Amino acid sequence: MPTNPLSRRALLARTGLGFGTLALQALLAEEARAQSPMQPKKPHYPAKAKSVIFLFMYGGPSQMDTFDPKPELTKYHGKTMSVALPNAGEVKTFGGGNNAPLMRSPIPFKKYGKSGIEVSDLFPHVGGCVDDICFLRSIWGNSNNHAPALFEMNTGTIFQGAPSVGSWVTYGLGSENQNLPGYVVMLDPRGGPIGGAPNWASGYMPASYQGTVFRPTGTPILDLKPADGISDQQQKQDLAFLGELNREHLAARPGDSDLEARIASYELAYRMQMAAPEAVDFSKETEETKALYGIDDPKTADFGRKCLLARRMVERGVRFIQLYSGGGHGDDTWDAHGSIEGNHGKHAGATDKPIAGLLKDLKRRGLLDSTLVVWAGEFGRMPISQGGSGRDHNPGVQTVWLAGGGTKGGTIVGSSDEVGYKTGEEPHPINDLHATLLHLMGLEHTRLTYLFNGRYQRLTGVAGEVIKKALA
Amino acid sequence: MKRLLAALPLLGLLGLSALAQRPKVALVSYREEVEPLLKADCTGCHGKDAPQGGFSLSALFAGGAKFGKKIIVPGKPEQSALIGYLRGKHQPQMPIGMPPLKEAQIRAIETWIAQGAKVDSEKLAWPYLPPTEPPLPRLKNPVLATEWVQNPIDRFVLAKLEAKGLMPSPPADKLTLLRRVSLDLIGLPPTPQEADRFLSDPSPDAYEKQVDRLLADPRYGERWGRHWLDLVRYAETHGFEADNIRSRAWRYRDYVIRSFNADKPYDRFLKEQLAGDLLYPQDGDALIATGFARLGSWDELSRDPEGRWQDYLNDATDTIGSVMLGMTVGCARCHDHKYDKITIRDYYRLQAFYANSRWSEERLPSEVDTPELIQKREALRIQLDEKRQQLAAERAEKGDPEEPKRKRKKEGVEAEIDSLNRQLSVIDRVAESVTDKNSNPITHRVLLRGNLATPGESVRPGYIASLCGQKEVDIPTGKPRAELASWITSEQNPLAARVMVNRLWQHHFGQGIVATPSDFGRNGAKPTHPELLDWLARELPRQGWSLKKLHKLILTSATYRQSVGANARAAQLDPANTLLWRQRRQRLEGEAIRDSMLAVSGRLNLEQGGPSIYPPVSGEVLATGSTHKWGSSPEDQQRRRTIYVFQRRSLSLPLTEVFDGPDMVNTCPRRQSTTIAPQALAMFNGEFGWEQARHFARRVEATAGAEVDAQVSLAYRLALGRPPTPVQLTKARAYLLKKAELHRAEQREKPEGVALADFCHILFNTSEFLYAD
Repeated sequence: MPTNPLSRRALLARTGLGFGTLALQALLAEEARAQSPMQPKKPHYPAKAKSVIFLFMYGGPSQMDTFDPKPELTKYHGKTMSVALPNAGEVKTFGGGNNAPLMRSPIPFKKYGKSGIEVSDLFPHVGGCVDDICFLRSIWGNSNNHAPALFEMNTGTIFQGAPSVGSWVTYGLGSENQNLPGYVVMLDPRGGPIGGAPNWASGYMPASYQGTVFRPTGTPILDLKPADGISDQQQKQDLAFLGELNREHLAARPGDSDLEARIASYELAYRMQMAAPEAVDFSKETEETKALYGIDDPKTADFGRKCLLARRMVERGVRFIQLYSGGGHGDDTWDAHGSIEGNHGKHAGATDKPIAGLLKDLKRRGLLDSTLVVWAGEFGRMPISQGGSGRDHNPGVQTVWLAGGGTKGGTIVGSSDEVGYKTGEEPHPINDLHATLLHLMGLEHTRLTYLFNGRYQRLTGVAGEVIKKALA
Repeated sequence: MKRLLAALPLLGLLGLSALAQRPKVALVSYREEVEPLLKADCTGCHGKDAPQGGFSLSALFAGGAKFGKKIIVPGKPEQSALIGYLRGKHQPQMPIGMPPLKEAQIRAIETWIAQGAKVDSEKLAWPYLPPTEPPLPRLKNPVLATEWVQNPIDRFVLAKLEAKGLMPSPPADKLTLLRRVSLDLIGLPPTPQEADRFLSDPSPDAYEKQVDRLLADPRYGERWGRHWLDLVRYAETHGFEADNIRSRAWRYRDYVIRSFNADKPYDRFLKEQLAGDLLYPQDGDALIATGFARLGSWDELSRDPEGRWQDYLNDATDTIGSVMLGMTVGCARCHDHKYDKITIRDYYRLQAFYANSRWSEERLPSEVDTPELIQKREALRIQLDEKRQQLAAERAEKGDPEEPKRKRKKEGVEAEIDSLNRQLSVIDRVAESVTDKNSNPITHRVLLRGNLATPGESVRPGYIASLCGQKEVDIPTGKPRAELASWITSEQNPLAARVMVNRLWQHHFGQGIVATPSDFGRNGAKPTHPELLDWLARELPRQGWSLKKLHKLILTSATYRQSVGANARAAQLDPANTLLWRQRRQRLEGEAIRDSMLAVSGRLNLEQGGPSIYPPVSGEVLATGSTHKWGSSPEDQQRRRTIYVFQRRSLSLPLTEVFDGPDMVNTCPRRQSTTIAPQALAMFNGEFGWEQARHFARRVEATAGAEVDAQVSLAYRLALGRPPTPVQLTKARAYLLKKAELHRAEQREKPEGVALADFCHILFNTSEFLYAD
């Protein structure tokens, strides 16, 4: 019987049986993964981080109003770009108004922590955590348009159809908890991001590696609850009878691993019905913890719940968790075309305390060292004004920050130019961010490949370098 | 350990000199073994343009010295700097920033140098040469040769089995075979009546008659058209941010279904898609077909129109290469293909056929307008104008600063506009076509590294040289795309027929003769039965490119009719069943699962064609997008086949998505077949399954009456295509009794009926329902 994968593998490898070696390897690898795609797998080298919490600030937060103070911008306030940066050339905005004047940040900055890193008043709580944060101030992308920019931050390319970071990570490492999805996405109650599901899709990889949308309230996963009117007792009886029929079917077809996996998938689904509601059940969390995340305040409650849920998932061995702040369009996202103060005030106000709560809570539980927290949007924003108080999209530079998971807290890597229009020192494309993320997870980005369309595809395409200065 | 590592190169050399003394070392071919390694791992930095360290691979044979070291000293690998760098003897070790080459790879290069570093002439082999006409193999076993073999396919398969000392599996029983071939050809299970007819037909060609019946069934095109739509990344929206609707895209889908049902010769089918506008301008279908090139995604909000147009050209080129040629042509977009014989020049020559193309909305020529139709069309246009003005006014009022053109699909005006567009798309008789701007001679440019900013040499349209015996064929000016269409479907092209017969084979057997159906190149899988593949590839044009004739040939072979049997000896000798000592069990795709449930419940609406439909999708799923994504259809429309479900790039029907549906952006030559818990959740908890189970139960009650045995028996026959065994019947009876009691205790109305629905729901979830033996 072809039950023993080793004997099959050995035989295939020995005889070749007419396969091209590369294709053979790919098929075998695919087969091994198809058996139990989320089984934990060994990293390429010892990992610093076991899990990732990716905080996605959808809409594009402004670097110069949050984590990248620009005194020169204050100096040149009201002047045109050509005065501040004579070599800047023609400014290309998304929404027009290329010749609009430079605009200083309306938000004051303060120094925090031992490192004395400056953070704007939009993030006083996160400011309190700067000594655990590594700020990457010179990340740049390739599109000033939401959808391609979202795809690039999530999949490494501006085109739709590539697997997302979480897919690559779970493809490479599996997940520690088989009763919960290994890759979880939590959206903003105002809607999903532009582009929708392709942002957490597995592209050309098997569906096993796509993100599962998880709701922090109600039924966490689609179709998780038995249909209306189906009691637990009834479901148990039905599953028992189904199992009986399926095992009898399998007995007549011995050794078919697909059929075995099908039976197991129903058992797993049943366990997931228990495990997922347990993960979202905060009744055993203390009031102090909930307050730490801002769950007691309506303004911060939603994102706070998601952050607390993220920590609980990390504890339960979920590999990759992505949280969105911002959903739908316009000012429901960080897309501050109209007013930086109004827009960012609202979104930072809803996320600052929960994010800081998450970092502190992870730290005091000893989880921060093995959990990589990423804070990023799809692009940064323009130093010139839009309509007097807003800012337009700017893929030229943005600030991304990392915390925990083997990163070096209290540091700043790279810089934007004087006014925050493009990168300054040590520019890093988004590929570098991804290479670094994989590195911290114990994965070498040039070795994590998937054969598709005749090419060994990588998250980092043909580029990517680990940002060494960000490592502890 | 370190010392041991340091000694490795030495060991390698010792091994080599030992090799050199022995006379019988196989010659290492530069073309086959060395060049691919250099191309894959070195040319990235040491190519012709801006070679790193001032060293270009083209200087490999110049005999020149670099940094005082000769790159290659023929006969002396230990003195060749190339080896030194690869082994890390010279620093930096090459390739920089990448894992070092494998020992076996370096050894191959060393052996090649030791053998004199000769460059053999480039030989074209499979798949670059046209299919041969292989002789039918001789068979050893006279009994099998006369009694098992049904047609030449079986001779090829049996010959390979015999060579391994294997036997084919016994044929599948009639009911298993009927279910298999029905799901295979039309994507629906056989009805009990069809099963009865087959069982009671004693004639020797009873099975053949079933194959003929299914091939003539219009549902065949809906099944096999879907396979084609997977390949051509078909969708009905643009993708990206707004993901706006292409309201006439469904015409291409219907065209594909029509073509399969009419058994349109495959060469004609390809010609229409490549150059229907030039070759058959009076044929509306041919105009629709040209839309093939523009089915890819399209960033409406791009601020870089030139780049976007290039993306379209790339997408069309790559898709033609993958779908029609089975070659990963796209790899040559930025540099010569690292594994296959496709140069960057070949790539842009192929692309040049489309360089003069444009997207145009073409009136379908054969349609006749009636005054009523014209009037209706005008009325719709006026309504549309009004709605658009209303929308613009609403936007102005709201003051949406960004993307004034963005269509937020909200209930209200925009849903109305969608609906009007759908109505108009039916009667405006316009195809989304691709035509030429003019007939001027085409000049196109190679883009170095695939970058618009770095154009290279000028090129004219041309075929991939390695597929033309390494010659660049001149294309007459005038209608180059028509020339491309003729060449691709000609006997000169070694690939079109091979690739298509392999695709048919893949669906009939779960795996192609070439297991990587869109990659016949070096990185793809080698054919398991190369002679059979060639024989089939010659057979297709011989049969007038009729796909239905090829289907029939394959389906009536003894190879296809085998059971998915077990055979311990065969499983040991050929565990992957590469040699086809049995049939393969296949999991149904999401479409076949949904359609089968509808068919079994008696609710399937078999209406064909027209604008796509919207089955209900839960609010939780709709909330995952940034825009309102989904419309609504009348209840009877929601029950149509899945191929008619609206194909939105940013939102798939959850049931088909969870069962590995295509992503509608990349070409999908082979569906994955994963087994994951969300599939169980969708099937066991999803509302659709319960709804169909209730209809299924009602149908059973209405037909079989109140008698439990008759109910169970009919339910089995409807869902699984066979009656239950006595044991299964007993178990089902006990289950129904227990469930009816439970429901009675819950004070449900008609507890027996509810229990029957529970039972039907379980049948939908059985492995037997989800797989075809």
